[in-house]
Amino acid sequence: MPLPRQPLKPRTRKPRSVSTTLAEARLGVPSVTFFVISAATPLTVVAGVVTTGYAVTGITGLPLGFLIIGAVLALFCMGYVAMARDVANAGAFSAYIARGIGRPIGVAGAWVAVAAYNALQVGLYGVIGAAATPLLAVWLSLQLPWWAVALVAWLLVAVLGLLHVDLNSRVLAVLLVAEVAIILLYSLANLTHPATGTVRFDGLDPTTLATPGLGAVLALAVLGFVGFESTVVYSEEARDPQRTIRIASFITVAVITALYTMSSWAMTVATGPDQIITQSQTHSAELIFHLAGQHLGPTLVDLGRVLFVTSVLAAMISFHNTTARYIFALGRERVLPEILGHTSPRTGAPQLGSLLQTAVGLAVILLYATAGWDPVAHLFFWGGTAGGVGVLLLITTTAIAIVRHLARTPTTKTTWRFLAAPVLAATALILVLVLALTNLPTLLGVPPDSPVPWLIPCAYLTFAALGALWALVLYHRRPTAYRSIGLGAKSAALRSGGPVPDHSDFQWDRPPS
Amino acid sequence: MLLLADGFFLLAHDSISWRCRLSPRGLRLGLAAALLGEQLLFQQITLGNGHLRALPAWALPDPLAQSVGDQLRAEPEVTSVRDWMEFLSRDAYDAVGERLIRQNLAQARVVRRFLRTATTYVPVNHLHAAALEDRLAVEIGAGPAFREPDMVLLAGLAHATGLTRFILADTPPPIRAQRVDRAVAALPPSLQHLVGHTNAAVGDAVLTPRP
Repeated sequence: MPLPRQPLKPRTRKPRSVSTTLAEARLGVPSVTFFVISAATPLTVVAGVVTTGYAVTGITGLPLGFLIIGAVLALFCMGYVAMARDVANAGAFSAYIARGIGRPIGVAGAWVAVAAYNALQVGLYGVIGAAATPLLAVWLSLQLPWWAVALVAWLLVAVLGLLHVDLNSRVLAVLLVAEVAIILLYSLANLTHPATGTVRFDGLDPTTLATPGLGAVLALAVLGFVGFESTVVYSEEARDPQRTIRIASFITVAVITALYTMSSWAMTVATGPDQIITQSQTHSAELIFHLAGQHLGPTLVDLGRVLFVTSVLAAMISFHNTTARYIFALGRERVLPEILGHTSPRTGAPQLGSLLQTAVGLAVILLYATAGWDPVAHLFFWGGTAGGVGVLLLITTTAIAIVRHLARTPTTKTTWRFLAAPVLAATALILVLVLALTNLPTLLGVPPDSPVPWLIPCAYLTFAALGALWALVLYHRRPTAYRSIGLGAKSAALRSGGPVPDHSDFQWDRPPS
Repeated sequence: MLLLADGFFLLAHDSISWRCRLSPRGLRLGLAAALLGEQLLFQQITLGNGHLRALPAWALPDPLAQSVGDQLRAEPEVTSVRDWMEFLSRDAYDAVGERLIRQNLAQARVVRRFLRTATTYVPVNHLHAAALEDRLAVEIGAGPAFREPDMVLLAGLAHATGLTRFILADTPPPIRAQRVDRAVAALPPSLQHLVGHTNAAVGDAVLTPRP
């Protein structure tokens, strides 16, 4: 007998409690760690930064540099995570600076950040050509100039930026696992084929650092870690805004340190510690593939090359988005024109910030292409190191801001986390910064009388001074915007704040019905 | 008269093609804010400093608004506006879509998306949607005189989610922002605060990337 037809019932949802629903959606340590490490694009650093770093600085102590900076940044993370709860726009160094030191310095920091992340991003256009041309030559018999490849990458970044595509987490997951696997495999091959017959630990010998170029090595190592700072972005969405983020930060720093220290040391073993400089000068970013080719055969080399290209692309997109977000936050705070804080309704992209970064990218590619400058040494390496120095400047200023902020925050928590670790981190970072600035000629690989090493700090100083001046103008002309400095997107909510009233604060005769 | 979230739903769709004008996240956040806005307009809650407080209940003319109000009262320990917005944003699309169906203002359409199907809600009355847009445009342009708070609040939410660039397509962006800001500034503080939080939520969605 057919069942009687039931009238359609409206779909009922099981009522669920807010706290449980939101708690289930919170991120745990693995998710946060994963989001952050996947944006670190390790192969870009190992194949690009490490090899050119050896070639340009001529110092073999790079593996130890990673180890030292890893330790300093782990210390830094203690205070950084502790302060994050009091910072509205927790993803931006400049917000910490504004809160801990003062709003004018905060704006200075934001402008320096925009410049530094821009430099990191455009630098990558210099290496994408070197990464992709060998593949294009072998597979498609195409001989393209570097700038043609760079322009294709630029277009891709521009479009994805406007569509607000942060690469899908699954894509990034696959890329990350593949990159780490290939780095481990290459390193294993390097370690099992030592040039001198035995595995030598010269790359990890502290005495190799007792050279005038120590600052250069440390600055390069900082460049490898850029991106570790984004764990705190997820504070509000984490299960425990302190514990989850702290553990995730430590794991991130530890994994990056281990990976870079090991792979850069393994390279010195394969070439022989006395040959690493000459070999990396001969092969540049090709060195890692050259070594792999000797031990592992062409298939794994091609796989590594493909991953190098995707890794550089992912890094470009990531830095593009970071730059666009800094500009967007300044627009939201109304520190810069409000229009910069507009999103595209359909895609949610920070439109103008993205377009501005895209414009900078195009200008730099065209400049280097027409001037005929070397894309790897003078765009990738200089852009990267200039950006790295900028980020080091930001981290150091943030470390000072953290000390100041935590010192005046009354707390019952451990003095180690709230006082000792931040003070130690700030001291160490100031030392690293001073060393890096004095070693800039070595870092850039130019003679001591070259003007280039002066240009970078001077540029940052100019940006910082203009930013601070602008903040003072805001103080007098637009006090609301001045008070919003460092608040990011939340400035809109804080502008309209007031205590919760006991009664409805308006009478409306005609409630909608 | 149209409820706030219904109005937001209509504005979020192009009144000719019915194409959604917002990103999925933006749409859900806007609808969640509009549902909280209904609670404010019905004087079921008050709001300030990022927190809300439930007020004594009275029978509301709409079952969805009633159930949102009941939920708010059932968990008085959760006071953060952003938490409520996040929570409501999960079901807001379906809840408001079904309410529009009950009023014959929308129909459900099942679409296939990769291996699974999803229900979308499509408004049905072009004239109705266009009239709402026109009315809102007039309200926003009318100057600082205090008007219907629900219309001004709707304008504020529309601006926070970026919809005013469609509704006031002919007005240059700075003037658009200036006019909406002026209208919103004339609202009672709790309504202004809701607009502020919607703005912050939309902005934070940009600053907190979830790959």
